[in-house]
Order: sequence, then C-alpha cells, then structure tokens
Amino acid sequence: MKNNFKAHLLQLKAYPDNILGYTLFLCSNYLAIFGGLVLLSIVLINFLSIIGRILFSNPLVGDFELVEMGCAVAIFCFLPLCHLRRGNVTVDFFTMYCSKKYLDAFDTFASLLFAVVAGIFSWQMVLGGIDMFQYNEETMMLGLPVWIAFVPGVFSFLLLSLACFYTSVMGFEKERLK
Amino acid sequence: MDRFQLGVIAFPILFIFLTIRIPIGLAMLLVGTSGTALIAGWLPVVAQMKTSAWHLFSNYSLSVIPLFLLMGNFASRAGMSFSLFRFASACLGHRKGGVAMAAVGACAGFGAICGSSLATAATMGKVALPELRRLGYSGSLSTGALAAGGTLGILIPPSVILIVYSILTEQNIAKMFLAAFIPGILAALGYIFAIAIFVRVYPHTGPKTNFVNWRERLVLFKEIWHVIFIFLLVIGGIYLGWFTPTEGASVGAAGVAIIAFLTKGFSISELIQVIHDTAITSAMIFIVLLGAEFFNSFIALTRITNELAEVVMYYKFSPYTVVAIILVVYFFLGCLMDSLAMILLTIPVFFPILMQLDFGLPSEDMAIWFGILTLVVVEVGLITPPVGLNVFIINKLARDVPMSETFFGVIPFLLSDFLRILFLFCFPGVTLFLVHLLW
Repeated sequence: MKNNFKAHLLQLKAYPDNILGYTLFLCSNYLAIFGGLVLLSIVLINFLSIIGRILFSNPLVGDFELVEMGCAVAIFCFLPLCHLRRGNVTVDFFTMYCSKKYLDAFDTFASLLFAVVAGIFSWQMVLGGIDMFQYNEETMMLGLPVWIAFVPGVFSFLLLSLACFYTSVMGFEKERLK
Repeated sequence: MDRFQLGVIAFPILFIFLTIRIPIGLAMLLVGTSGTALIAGWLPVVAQMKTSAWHLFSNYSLSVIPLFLLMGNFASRAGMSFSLFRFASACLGHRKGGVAMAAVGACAGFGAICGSSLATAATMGKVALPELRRLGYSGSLSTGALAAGGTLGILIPPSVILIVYSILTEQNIAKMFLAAFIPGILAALGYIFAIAIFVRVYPHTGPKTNFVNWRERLVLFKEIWHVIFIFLLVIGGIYLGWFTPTEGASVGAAGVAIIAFLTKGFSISELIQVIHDTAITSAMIFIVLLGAEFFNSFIALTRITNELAEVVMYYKFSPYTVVAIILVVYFFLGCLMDSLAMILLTIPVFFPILMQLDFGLPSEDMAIWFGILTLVVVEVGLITPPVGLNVFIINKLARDVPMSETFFGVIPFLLSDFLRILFLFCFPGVTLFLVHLLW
C-alpha cells in the first residue's frame, strides 16, 4: 500500500526502464517537489508578512529577499523536470509533416545543444557562486549569504545537462508521458 | 560585418533555429550569446552567464509568475471550473446556444483566477465539452466556443503575458490589469454574441435546455462566490496598495488552496500534481525569459532599434499606421509562434520606437493602450490556423470532432476578435477608461 502510494506520487509508472533514465527522472521529480515546497513556503511568508503588516503594522523583516531567494531556488529546481517532460516551447508548425526519422534527428540535435549550454551554465555558476562567496555578497536585511542559492542552481543545471544528454541519446518518453 | 548587419541577420537565423524545433528559449540564448560574442568577444558573454540566471530568477517582479500559476493550478484541480460552468448554464441554458454561452462565461470566470489561456482551455474543455456534446451541441460550435473562450484566460487579469509586458516596458502591473478588464469583458460579450448569431444561421447546432428558476440559481451561486471573492481580493488588494502583485498572487494561491482543501478534501497526490503542473509551466516560461535576456542584450548592442526608429521618423509615418503595421505583424507571427516568446522578442525592438512617436496621449497611457492591443492580438494567435494551440487542446479532448470542423467553429469568434481589435484601436479611451476613473 505504502509503496503503491509512493509510486503514484512520483508517477513511477511513467519512468523509463533503464537504470540511468529511472534515476534521472526520480531525481528531477524529487527536485521539482522540493522546489514546489519552497514555492509554498513563499506563499506562507507573504501571507504572514501581510497579516503582520495589516493587523500589527509590523511586517516580516526581510520578506522581499526571502521571496526573491526562494523563488530563484524554486525555478532552478523546476528546470530538469521541465525538460524531461518536454515542457519547453518549440515551434512545431514547419515540421508538422516531417517523418519521424527527421523529427528524432531534430530532437537529438536540440537536446545536445541544450546539454552543452546547461553544462556551461552549471560551470559558470560555480564560478559565479565562488565570486559571491569571496565578495561576501549578502542580502540587505537578513544578511543571508547569496552563494547559498547558487548551490541548488549549479546542481539543477548539472542535472538538466545530464537530462538533455540522456534525451539526446534515448529520446523522449513521449508515448507514456502526458 | 558591423553591428547593425549582425542584428539584421540575427532574426532570420533565429527563425531557422525555430523551424528545426530548437526550443525557443535555447534558440534565443544561442543567437544572443553568439551575436554578443562576435561584437564584444566571449569574455563578457561568459561573465554574464555567471550570475544572469540568478539575477533573473530572483527578480522580485517576476516572482509573481510562478505564484499566479500555482493559484491557477490549484483552481484547476479544485473543481472550480465545474461549479462555474454549472452556474453559468443554469443562467443561460434556456436560450438558444445557451450552454455554449455558459461555457464562454465560465471561461471568463476561470480566467479571473488563472493567468494562462492553455490552462483555461484545458480545464474548461474537460468540464464543458462532454456536457455540450451530451446536450446535442454540434462539434464545431462546442469546440469553437471552448477554444475561443480559453483565450479569456490571458485577457482577463491576472495574465502572465501582461506581467511580462509590464516588466519589459516598466509599467505598473496593477494599472495594466485594470486596463485589461473592460477589453476582457467585451471579449466575453462578443463571443456570446457570436454564438447567438451562429445558432441563428445554423439552427439545431445549439439546442435549448430547461429553464432553471432563480432559487436554484442562487444555490449554485453559493458554490462560486468564493471565486469572485478571491478575484476581487487579489486584484482589488493589488490596486488599493494593500499588497504587491507578488503578495497578491500569494494571497490568491493560499485562498484557492484553502478552498480546495475545504470543499474537495485535497489529497497529497493531488498537491503533488499541482506542484508538477506549476513546475513545468514555470520552468518553461523562465527558460524563455532567460533566453530572451541574452537575446535582448545582444539586440541592444546592435543598436538596431535606433536605426529602425530613425527610418520610421524619416518617412514620417503616422503613429497609428505604425501601430497598425505592428499589430498585423503580430497577427501573422502569432499564427506560428508562442505568444510569450513573441512578446519577449519584439517588444524590446518595437516599444522604444513607439515611445518616440507622438500619439497625442501621455506616454504612460500609450504604453497601456498598446500593451492591451498587443495582448488581444497575441491571444487571437491561439485560435488561428495553422498552429492555434487552444484549438489543438480542445480538439484533442473532443476525439469525434475533426480538426477542420473545429477551425470552422472558431471563425465566428475570430470575426468577433477582429471587430474588437478595431474598436479598441480606434477608441483608446475604452481601454484607458477604468485606469483614469480609478487612479
């Protein structure tokens, strides 16, 4: 029962059979759920801040920066799942009547490009994070170190890059996924 | 090759990338980075990559987007679409074509808590389509009405496209939302009118149902009052300055979530579904935004906007002609492209040009008026062939209706759209009325 529930929760049925794909899907899924929880906490923070401001004229200190940081972390966490679920916007008009062979070739090419770009982003964000760390970049009110947000960022772009490599080799799981 | 030429050839290259199905955000990023690198070398490009994603994703104004999406997704899963549709068909069903009108009305109501057209079309389609077919509504009318009704999702605030437009052009989001209100209502009324004409031209496509008395309507209204309440709270609160748009979106998301838990007993797996939907759409939007960031900083380097503006000034086109030309370009682009990408791609080029022209309006009014016109034209692209996304979504839900029939059903709504665009174009005062009245 418990296992069924978990399988349902993470939509395990829709995962590829091979171990690499399975792991990638699982990681992206957990990451996205984590991002969703961060987003829900932003809702909570805003809620508390408004209540504090209106009822007690005493807003939550640093709510803006918490929202900003939380939002960035949430979006980072959403990236890999979006690619694996084929969420990216493409223009399908010109290739509507292409045969599957060409479509697969285009997808492979796009995935490969995406993998390289995401990889570069991940690498550059490591450097960016180190910069932030060295310059002691902190948020205004709470003094939170900014480099913390770069950790999930780097990880997400890395996972995105791996996911893109995976789809460039194995293709998308399009039939089984909605 | 000088900067200007680079800027000019960047657009065809971008379109070639798009035609071979490279995701829009990625294509903009590739062209943008390569272009900047050719002008200024790779060093600044790579340096920009270090922190640009962080700066963009942590932009306070943009944080409103995932929160509004969260709110819309909670609403989709909470069965609010169903209550809205039931109430609307109790009020309108006894007329000819009334249930289709009700579907449009319900779309408008749902659009008031959902900022995306595709989500509105998909959600309302699932609810209303089986009912319309069961009552004997023709395939073309029922799918056409729902595809068109779905576009009310972005027309009626909150609206993701409007948020992005306000950020790009540095306008006040609350004012934009307020300005979109009357055109949105006009759109819903226009669609209802289009249905009324359609069922007179083609009788038997939209049969009547029984009259529902006022007492029962009141009972059904009790199930939708909270939708109206949340809409008024969110938009009113933002407008009155109780909270920022981001906080307003949070209030809305929390409100819809609480109602969902109370009325439907939300389960954990449904919550995960909501998170998944939000995750995929948010990431999709932010990848396009990230690509646009790089593309637009390249376009700024090429100074192509200034050159274009000089051409426009030199030939002394009338400002309204320029807007008309831009709208026609949008219409054709909208037939092929995603609306968000289109806005991100063109507004940084077109908007500065328009700002230099004299419309006889204060520049802020002009920005609001143009933004609403853009929104309306972009929304038309969702139901025009060959790639009207709303049409595809609804058609997928109605398996027994051929695509040609759906596109035929969309025609009356397209005509209503054109009339409305013309009306809004000729009378900027209609769009600006609420803004001037309340600000």
